[in-house]
Amino acid sequence: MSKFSRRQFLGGLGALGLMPFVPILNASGAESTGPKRLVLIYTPHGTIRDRWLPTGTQNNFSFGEILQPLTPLKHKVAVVDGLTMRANESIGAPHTKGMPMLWTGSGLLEDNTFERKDQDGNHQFYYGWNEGPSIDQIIANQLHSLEPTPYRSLEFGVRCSNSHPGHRMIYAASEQPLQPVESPYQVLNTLFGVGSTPHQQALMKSQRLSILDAVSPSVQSLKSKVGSEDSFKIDAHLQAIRDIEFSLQNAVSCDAPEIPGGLDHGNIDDIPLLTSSQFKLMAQALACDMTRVCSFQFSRGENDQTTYPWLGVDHKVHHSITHDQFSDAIDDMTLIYRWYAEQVAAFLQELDSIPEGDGTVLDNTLVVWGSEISRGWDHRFDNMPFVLAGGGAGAIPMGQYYSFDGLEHNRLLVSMAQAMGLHSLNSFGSLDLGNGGLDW
Amino acid sequence: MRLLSILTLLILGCQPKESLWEPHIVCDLGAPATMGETPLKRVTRSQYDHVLKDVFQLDAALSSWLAEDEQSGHFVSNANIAMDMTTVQMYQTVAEKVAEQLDFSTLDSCNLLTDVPRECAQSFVEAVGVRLFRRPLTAVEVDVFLGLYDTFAEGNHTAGLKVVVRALLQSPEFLYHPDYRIAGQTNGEIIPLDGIALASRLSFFLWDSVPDAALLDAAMSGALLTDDGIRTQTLRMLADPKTARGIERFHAQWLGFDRLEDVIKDEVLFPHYTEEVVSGLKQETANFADYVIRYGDGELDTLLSADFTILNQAIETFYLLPEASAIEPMKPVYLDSSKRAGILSHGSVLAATAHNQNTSLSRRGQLIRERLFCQPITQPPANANLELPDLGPDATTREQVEAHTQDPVCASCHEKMDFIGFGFEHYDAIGQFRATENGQTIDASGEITGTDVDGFFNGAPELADLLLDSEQVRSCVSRQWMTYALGRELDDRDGCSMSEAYAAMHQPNNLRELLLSIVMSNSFRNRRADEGGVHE
Repeated sequence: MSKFSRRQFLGGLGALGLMPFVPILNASGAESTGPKRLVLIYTPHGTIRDRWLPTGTQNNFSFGEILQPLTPLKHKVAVVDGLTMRANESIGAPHTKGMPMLWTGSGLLEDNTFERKDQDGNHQFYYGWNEGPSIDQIIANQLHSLEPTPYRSLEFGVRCSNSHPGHRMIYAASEQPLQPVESPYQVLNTLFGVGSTPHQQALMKSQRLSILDAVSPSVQSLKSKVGSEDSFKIDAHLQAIRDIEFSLQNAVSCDAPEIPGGLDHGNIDDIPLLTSSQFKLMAQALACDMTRVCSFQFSRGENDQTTYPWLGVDHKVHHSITHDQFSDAIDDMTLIYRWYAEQVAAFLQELDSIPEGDGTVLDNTLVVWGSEISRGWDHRFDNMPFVLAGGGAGAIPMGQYYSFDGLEHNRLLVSMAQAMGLHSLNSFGSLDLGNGGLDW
Repeated sequence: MRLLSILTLLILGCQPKESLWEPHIVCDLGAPATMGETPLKRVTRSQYDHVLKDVFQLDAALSSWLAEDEQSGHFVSNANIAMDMTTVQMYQTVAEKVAEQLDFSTLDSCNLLTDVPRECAQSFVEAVGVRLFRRPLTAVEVDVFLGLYDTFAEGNHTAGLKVVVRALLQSPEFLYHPDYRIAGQTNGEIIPLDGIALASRLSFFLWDSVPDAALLDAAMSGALLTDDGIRTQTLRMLADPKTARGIERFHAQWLGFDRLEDVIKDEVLFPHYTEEVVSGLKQETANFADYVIRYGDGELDTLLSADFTILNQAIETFYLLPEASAIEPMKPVYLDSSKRAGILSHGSVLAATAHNQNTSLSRRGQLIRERLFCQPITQPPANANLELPDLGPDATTREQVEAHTQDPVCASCHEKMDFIGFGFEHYDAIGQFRATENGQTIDASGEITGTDVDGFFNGAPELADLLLDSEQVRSCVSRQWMTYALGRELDDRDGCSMSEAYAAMHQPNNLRELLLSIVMSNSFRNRRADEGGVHE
């Protein structure tokens, strides 16, 4: 029996809330503790380091003001201080290059995708998309090849803006940004089925498959018409269709979490509910094993116009505040960064409330939370603020406060891959210096 | 709260470039015709909405369900990046929303008592298909969509049509513009677009939507492929109100106010700057540009220096006019010409280029440099100090910026922007006129350098006067329009086409002539072959 049909059968249990994870039988027939999962979380503009840093020692520490909301889960969280992102080795403006670099460990292409010329035809300003894939996609490909889930990975977001290197952090490959879904209703529509009865859901699924079946020969036929420069677009379109078909054919029945109606993903005032809704949907998608790899992007650093009226920070937009280092701005930023920590904490607690094997879903998940710069006013890339949680089924020890004195952040990316089972991966990204993973 | 303590400086660079301007468009009429790459493009969000309106009479702005468009320069064009699964899923979702919201009683004249439903379905597929695909469907295609109808109608005619609509909207024949670089024999060979592809390019340019029946007829008959034919169609289309969309799309992106709702302002300082005002300001500029180009004299000079605008209810009081004017559609309302002149003094442009409390000299200056003179500003050095000095609560923005640009590293470049930006200091962060800032009288004297109209000016109206004399501005505006029309970056290979467009801006100095000239140009009417393609 395939695991999908078993899950469909179990789907009816989900009505009471999050579905319990049902242990998968591994090849030897013994129960494993559950699948490993990876979640990347991004929030913009770094942090205020002295209010973010814990006090104490590696094993015995207290969270600082900003991370204090994580206290209830302290034994399942690790603070990682001191890593440097080698952004000064790459072209591009700080927020623009920091964003793609965060999870790819690579710089921007030095091509003319975003080139502009002056009146004499000279290059004035040029950069391209990302050089390489993000680590989660490498991990997702590996996990998917070993044990497919309906989706290879899922990308969630709030206020991520248009398609530009400074606004995208997840990349399937060079120049292949993945679009985060910003509308919780889009997530509901595609992941949790349409229609209130099993018959309606089945009909919708069958219609979606038939439609894809009907249009994909036309996509295929475009391959012979367009030039070679464009054929990658057709290949990607066909791949996307195959991925959607796979997700439909292997759909798991999974009850949607309660999402408030009427949210507008362009509306500032809706940000708190959008954020909690997206985190809930992500937790449920993981709990139902729709995918093993997720990411969540909250806004972006480049030209970030977000205000935080629900925190009383509505007089300046975030990007402007971060360019200020006077105390009132520091206090405002602290409020914002602490709010981020509250959102992350709520998500972690949600994962931790779902039993799995001897522990919880969180225990089997590696959560990595980062930013595209370390602080706003002078765009630093040293002391990048990273927080880990879950640990990936014991792969990385939690409950620790790690300090790495200026080591390149590529080593964290390598460690993430190793923790997720890619043990032979010893280097990642064009900026990697070849030092392997981090010593925990 | 320190109101003016610190300004965010734009992340802009400081490499001096003091060359005198010379016409940069190179056209060798003796050389074989050539043009830049013509990448495969997908419909944008606004195009999607306009198509729903034109084909289905559905006015529901459903495109917010779609993936965000790609930013290419300052225009959006989905020309560079391949779709990922999520983007394709979003086309799936929006198609489902469309099918749910359509009023089939107006789209399908089937009388289920007397007609054969399947014949009605075939008529529907053919009628809707020809609009969405911009060409008649082949017999094979009709069969494919009717096959879906047969499978899912199940005695419910409309249910079958809904599935058909969803499929048509997910077809690549709808999603991609058929004006791509084509697989051919010789790399770089220039091949005329066929009538269908040309009609499509034309209608997406001017109408931001699919062709109508008359344009398709001209495409099918071959009339569109002649000089007379394309001129006739273009003039007809320019007279159609749908061209207001192309004009709106161009100006909103060119002048950077397309996402004005994302530029948040301080609610305490600007309590009247509501969502309605934001959309009112955008509407004003769109209507003004439409008025100048399609109703008025069509002159670039008028666009840049008019002493009137087109108001709407939402911004009736925005310009603080001494007397209320009757607001009528497309009726000019005259402003105080000492305070406002042309499109660059519109609230939309000024609010989009300001911070949320304060003005930004750099952003406003950068807009003029990059969008009016086509002079890009470089990035600042990585170690640039981006702080403005704290001169106390009574300092003006000018004083802070002047102190800041004492730093010679930044000054070389910031002077190019800020000295222009000073001229806009009479307009606050939402673009309203102010005589004073923090109790001090506004000094709006500025200077423009490194152009063909170098000189001093005081305030935006005087700057507008300078711009009118600039060949560089005319050339740049023609280049901006052409970039928008083609949905791609231009390069030297488009030189002769740019030269034609520039001539239209130079000689008659008329924007209608410019649009016509762009449509008539080599770069607009052709595409490139690619030897790497698969040949059939």
